[in-house]
This record gives sequence, C-alpha cells and structure tokens, in this order.
Amino acid sequence: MREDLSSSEFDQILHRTQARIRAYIAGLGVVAHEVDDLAQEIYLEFYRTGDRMPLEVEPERWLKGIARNVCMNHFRKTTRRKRLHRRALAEILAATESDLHVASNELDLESQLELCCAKLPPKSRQLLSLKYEQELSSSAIADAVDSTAEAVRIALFRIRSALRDCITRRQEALGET
Amino acid sequence: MSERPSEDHEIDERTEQVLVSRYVHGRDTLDESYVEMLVAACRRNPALAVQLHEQLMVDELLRQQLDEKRGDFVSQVEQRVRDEQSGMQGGLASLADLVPIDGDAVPDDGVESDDNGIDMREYAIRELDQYRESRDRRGGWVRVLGFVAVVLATAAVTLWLTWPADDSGVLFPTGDVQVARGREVLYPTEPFVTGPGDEIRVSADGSAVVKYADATEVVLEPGTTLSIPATGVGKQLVVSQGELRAKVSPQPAGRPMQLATPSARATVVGTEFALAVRPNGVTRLEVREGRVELARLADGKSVGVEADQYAVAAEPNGPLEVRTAEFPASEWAEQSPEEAGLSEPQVQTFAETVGGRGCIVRDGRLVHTWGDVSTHGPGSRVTEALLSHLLFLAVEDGRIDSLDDRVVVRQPLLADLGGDRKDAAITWRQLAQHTCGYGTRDAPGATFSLKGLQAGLLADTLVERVFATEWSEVDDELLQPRLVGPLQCEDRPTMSGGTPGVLRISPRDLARFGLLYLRDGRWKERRLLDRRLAAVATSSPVSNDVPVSAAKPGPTIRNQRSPWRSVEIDHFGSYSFGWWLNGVDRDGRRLLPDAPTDTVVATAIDGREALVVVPSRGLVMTYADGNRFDWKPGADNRLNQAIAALLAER
Repeated sequence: MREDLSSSEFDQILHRTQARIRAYIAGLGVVAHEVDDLAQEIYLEFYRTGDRMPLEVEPERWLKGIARNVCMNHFRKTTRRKRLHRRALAEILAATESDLHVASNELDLESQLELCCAKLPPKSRQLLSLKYEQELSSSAIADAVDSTAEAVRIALFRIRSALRDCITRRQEALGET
Repeated sequence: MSERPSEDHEIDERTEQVLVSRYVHGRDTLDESYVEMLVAACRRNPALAVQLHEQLMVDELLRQQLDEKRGDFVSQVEQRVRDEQSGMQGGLASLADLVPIDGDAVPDDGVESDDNGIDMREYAIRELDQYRESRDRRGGWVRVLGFVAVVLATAAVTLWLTWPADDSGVLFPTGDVQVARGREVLYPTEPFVTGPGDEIRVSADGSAVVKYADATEVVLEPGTTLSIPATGVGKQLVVSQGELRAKVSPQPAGRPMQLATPSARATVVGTEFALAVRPNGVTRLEVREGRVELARLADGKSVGVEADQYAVAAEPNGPLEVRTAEFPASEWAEQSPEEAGLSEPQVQTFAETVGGRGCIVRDGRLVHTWGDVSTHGPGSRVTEALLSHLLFLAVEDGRIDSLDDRVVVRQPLLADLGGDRKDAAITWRQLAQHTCGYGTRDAPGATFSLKGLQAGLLADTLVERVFATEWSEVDDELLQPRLVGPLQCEDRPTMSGGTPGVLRISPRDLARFGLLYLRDGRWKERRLLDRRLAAVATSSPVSNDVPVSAAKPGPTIRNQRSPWRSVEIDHFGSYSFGWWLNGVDRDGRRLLPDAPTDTVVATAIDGREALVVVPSRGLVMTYADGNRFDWKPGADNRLNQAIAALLAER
C-alpha cells in the first residue's frame, strides 16, 4: 500500500463506496455482467494511484473519475464502428451526473433502497423477485404473470422510477434533519 | 422484435419508456437502431438521459441487493489487491509510474496509457475540474484559481522539459488518434512526442495538431494519415490521405520543411497553407501567406505557389498551373478569353457544342456568355448537388451527427416499410448517393438506382424534419441566409418557386455555386461549408463493385413525391453526392477522357443543363436548355468534346 493510503483506509473506502461505484458504472450503460469486472479494475487503479489523490478531493469523486475513463476506454475497445452509438450514449449519460435526483453521495443508498423496496405493493415485489432474484427474462416473467414482455418491462420501469422517487424523498428528509 | 417504437416524429412518453426499459433490460443484445433512436431521443430531451441513468443505477442496486448468486465483490477486490501486493500483477504496477500530475516527467515514449488505455492525468484533471466547479458554487474562488494555476504551471513545465529539440514534433491529439510505431499501435490522449518512423492516423472522429519547437504548427483534419520518414533533413512529413493546414515558421537555410503526397511534394520555407490529398490521389495546395514550391512526382514539373494562390496536381501529363481565384461581388468582373489564357474560337466552340445559354468563368472572372444567362434554368438534376450541399450543412450544424446516421431517426415512417424493415437501415450517405435501395427491393448499400423518389425523400426529410422548415419558407429561412445571400446571387434562385426541392437558378448564379466548390467551400473570407465536407462531396464516387439495380419496385412512404423521373443509368464509378467525377467505370472507360481528371460535373441526365468545375484549370462552366445528348463515358460524350475544345492547345 502507498505511504499515504493505508490498507485500512483503502478497505474503508472500498466498503463505503463499492455499491455506488458499481451503480455508477451501470449508469453509464455497461452491461450488467461486466459491471463487477470493470469495478475491480477501478479499485485496483485506485489502490495503485491513491497516493496521487489530492487531499482535498473526496475519494468517491476520485473513484468516479477513474470509473469514467475506464468505462470510456472499455467502450472504445469493445465497440466497433457499428456500435458507436453505445459510446455516444455513455458520454451522454456521463454528462448527466450533476442532474441526477438520486444523490450517489455518502448517504447509505443501499439501506435506503431496502427500506423503499419494503414499501412496495406485493405485486411489485413479486416482479422484482422474478427479475432480480430468479433472473428470469421479461418473456419468462410475462408467462408467469400472464402478461406480455413489453408490459413487464414497462412495469419494472415504473417500479424503478417509484424506488428512485422514494430514495430521493428519503435523502431529502435525511438532509433536512 | 415484433414491436416497434412510435412512428411519430417526436417520440412520445410511452415510446421513451419502451426504449429506456428495453435498454435497461437487454442492452447487450439490443438492436443498434434502437440504441441510435435512444441516443437521438436523449439528445433532444436531456431529462430522458437523466431518467435512463437513474433507471440503470437502480437496476444495478437491485441486482446487488437481490441477486444471491452474485459474488462477494469486496472479497474479490481485496483478493486482487493481495495479488498485487505479492507481485502477481507486476506488469500492471508500472502504470502508477506514468502518473505525472505531481510534476513527473513524461516518459520517453510519451505514452501515458496502459493496456486499458487509461489516462491517469486525464481523469485527474477532470476530477479537479469537477472539484473546482463544485467549489466555485460554494464561492471558493481564490483557492480554486490558485489551484488551477498550479495545475497549468505544472503542465507547462512538464511540456517544456520534454519538448524535443530537433525536428520531431509534439502531437496534441483530440478524439480517436492512433500512432503506429514499429509493430505497436499507441492511443495517445495527451501530448505525445513523435519521432522518425511514426505514422499518425487521425480517424474520422478525431483531429490533431503537431507543434514544433520553432512554433510551426500542422493541423491534421479528421481522416488524415501522416507519417514521419525515418531519414531526412529538416521537418519531413508524408501525407498519404486526408488534409492538413500548416503555419510554418521560417526554416533554417538548407533545411526546408517538406511534405510529400502520393502525387506531389511541397517544399516550404515559411508560410501558411493547406494541403489536401483526395481519394483519387489528386493533391491540392492552397497558400495563404508566403510561398510554397509544389512539384509533381510523376514528371518533376514544379511551380511556386504564393499567397492567395492554389495549384492542383492532377493528371501526370497535363499542365501544372498556379491559379488565383477571385470572388465576384454583386456582379461578375469580366475578362477577355485571351486574358484568361483562352481564345475566342475556343469559348465559341464550347458554347456551340453544348448549346442553349450559359457562361464560362475562369479564376473567378466571367470570360464568355451566350444567350440569356439571367433566366432560371429548367430545374433539372443539376440541383441534386445542392440537396447534398444542404445535407452537408446539416452535418456541419450538428443537426445530423454523421453521414452514416440512419435516416429513420428523422423519418420514422421508414421503420416499417415492407416486411423486412430494410429501409430502417438507410443512411444519409446512401440516400444522397442513390445506393439506398429505397423504392426498390434491394437492401441499402447493395445497388445504385438514380430514382427521383430517393431525391424526394432526401429533400423532404432534410427540409421539413432536419431543418424544421416548410417548403414555402425554405428560400427565406435556408437558401438565402446559407447560400444565396453570401454568394450574392443576382437572379433570386428559388427552391419553392416550382417543384419543391428543385432549385431554379440562372446559369450565372449557378456558376457562383460552382466557384464555391472550386474553392472547397470558401467564399471570400468566409467559409460557407466545411472544407472536408466540400471535399467529400466531390471525391466520394460510388464503387464499381456496386451494380445498377435490377430489382422490382419496392414499397415507399405513402404519397412519396418525386421531383424528377427515375432513370436507369450506371454511376460509371463517378457519382458522388449529386456530382459526377471524371472517374473510370467497370470497363476501364473514363467518363470524360479528354477533360482533366479533377473535373466534376452536376448535370441533367439528358445533358441539357450542367455545371462543370475544373479546379486545376480554375474553370467553371454552366449552361441551361442545351443540346440533348446521352450521358455516358467516352469521347462521344458531348460535354467531353466541349471541354476538350475549350482546353485544346492554342
């Protein structure tokens, strides 16, 4: 470990930020099964270069800087000409960070999400379970709930929007207290 | 996929939700046309991009929380860190040494990326920029300015310490730029010291500047390939394709800067100039200040090109001439045929051969007119070159990202034509080049068909959906401010006075449009079209590998209009965005065998109206209501005969 970033500091930062950094990577459009691999690379870079981080810069901000470059290079390497649109989309998404309603800052996003999930109606929780726990495709979920794949996708879209709203409200409330 | 996004021009909220949810759920397998629509929708509506970002974040957080099969991420990272500490990834550890934000020197090879292409300085600077912005909002001006000053000073000192003292330059890349060094290909994202043997490849998405210690600067335009010979005296560059502009400080005696192209060599002692290599190998040199010697490699002929002059090294055996090109004011300045280096019989023969009414312009001055040159022409396919001009303006404006964008983004009705959705893949380039297959059963890019329906689709989509105007307003809102006004046309050209999309223009005003392209999009001190786009227009022939369509008619958008009747004609390896280049067809026949190879022509297929531009000779000729003839390659082509007569040795 570098002189001015101890093992315990690194571990602390890793535990504190990993969920949000992985969400940030996904938010740039990295496909789900590649998120963790890229996130590992980001933390390794952080580990190697943490000593160069100015004292006044928050580690999470520094990590996001690494993340942006790692992701853009990832898109540059993996997207050929026919997939240039994905790179363009990643750049658009990266530029939205300051406008996000869900503040991915030091607040405990994970526990806020858990509390918000608990408030969802049973049918919504069932859909989340089918999608994220059982990892069923939209078509398989549609078969299970007697609907169409498109309707399932839209329903999940609305559930995620509701969760986002809930998290935002809780963050605002916590911020006020 | 069975369902399609909405066909409305403005995507509605429901369609946005469909696009976003499909991207969130299956972005690794999603059809590119959907991603393209999503990009366009996010650009139009930034709130949608925020929504998508948050959907993706919440999706990932739900996966983290609910997917029990997902590995323990923290443990995985800790294991990799332990591996790193024990040296298992020693090869990567050197990356840290390439982070010179605290003043470290740039490494010898100037490369600051690792195998992943991670640019540590870039992210540091970005981070600090963001940090600065957030502090600015809190009012920390003094500290921020001090901090920025330190960063800039550090960068300046680093660059100064590493600046090469010899004739090597420092490359400042922007976007996608590669440097081939030996067997290695590098992707510099920071200032990079070039050296003998390097080949710099600037992609269509990049640009670069090479700066030398003596303040000489060479700007490499997108699509340029430039190499630095391993041997040579002074600054030596080889331009194999693309275009550059240079501002060259006075060079030491006996050590001029030299730029070689496939067809010519330019020797520079100190000046400002632009050098372009067209895909057909033609080299064009335009000098703004000072003097440049241009030598043609094929026969060793050379000329000195001075300020506000240009020269084109085209066919090997023709003259290599230095031209000056004036720009007309509200009226054309005139010169006699003799003053223009022509003769009365020559210009008379040209006029009699093509017939009708028209004019000949050389070096920006009117040389000869016949008939009424102030009355509008019939509005033939000559104006397809103008439609392409509007397309290039849309690209230049950023209304269209690229010629290879799909037209369906602006005309959603293309998405569901026929049963195979083939027309959803049509690009702007294919539409303007008539290789789109629209109105036939052919796939986009597969065949050439000079269909009026395609011109109609191009015209309507551009004007109504890209420039968001109406045909009744197009003269005032588009034509006048972007073309007719700056060119100071005399006879009120119009695109709405007859068939919408067909330009009605007098021969003497059409000559102004030709002169604009002769000068690569520049008009006086103003650039009306990006130089590179002007070059694309007149140097991108349809490949001889593309056959003429023999397919049956296919479906079209309901009520699709056609400004011109369709004609069955080959592209002769020459058709380029409404212009006919002097190319060679599949049988090896040159379109205009007795005309200079850099001749470009916009013409009615029956030959009755044409605009001819010959940059290497400084010539623009236009005529309307001329004699009919078959537009085909060979000496029989009447326009070929007319140009040959005009340029015959006296």
